Amino acid sequence: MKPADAKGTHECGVRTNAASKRPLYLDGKSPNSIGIYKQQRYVIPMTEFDEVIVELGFSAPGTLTEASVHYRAFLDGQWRQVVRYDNAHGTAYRHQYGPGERIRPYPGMDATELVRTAREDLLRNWPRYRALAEAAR
Amino acid sequence: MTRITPALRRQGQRAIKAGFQWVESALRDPEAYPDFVVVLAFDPETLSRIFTQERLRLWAELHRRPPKSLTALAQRMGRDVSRVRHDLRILERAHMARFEHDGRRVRPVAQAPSIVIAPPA
Repeated sequence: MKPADAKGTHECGVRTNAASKRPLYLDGKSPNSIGIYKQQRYVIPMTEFDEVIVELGFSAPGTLTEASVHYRAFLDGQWRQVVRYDNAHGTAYRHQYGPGERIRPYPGMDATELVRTAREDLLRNWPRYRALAEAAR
Repeated sequence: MTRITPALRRQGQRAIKAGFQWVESALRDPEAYPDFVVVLAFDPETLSRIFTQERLRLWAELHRRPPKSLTALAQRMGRDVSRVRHDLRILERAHMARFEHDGRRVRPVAQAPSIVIAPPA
């Protein structure tokens, strides 16, 4: 994985925490971030070339306010985002990267439901997303 | 292009199920879980690929005495630079190490996630 550059941008285009130089998808700047007291990151290596990263932001114990789920694939020597689900802009949505990239909003969906939706979608469709990302190179 | 075989598909699905099981638990009681977790589905092949004796030694050394460069680390370990780089790349994919670039110098840095090995379903 390439490190963040001086501007704090990770190779996958995500802002990073300058101190740690790790991508922080939940950067505390979205409308949902006010009052976040705890953030967690779960990395789920799937295969040698595929992984899921889940980031959670809690505003109170047991109250999930922010969530992002990223499916990333190791293509051409670096990790690339293939699909991202998050509610960083106040609305839940799925962002599929690459040429003809698609954004699918999930109106009214809360953060917990978004995490579960991402799980189900990835369980069924990750090979298809991977194939589309490879074909788009 | 990596062909996604049925076995690879199942491996990915097992990992997603195992990983999200931990996420579900954290959703209910976030205080009980650390902030940075790598969830590895139990798979002897994957685990033995990551956790060789040499790589674990390397990881421990990264923690004990952070090196100034990749070359310095290789010299200290008495190993070939290319082999050390290869091992660090594998640790990097498990989020146990990362590389910092300072001009032409590459400095490996240890990361310390909590590592969970989810038991077979």
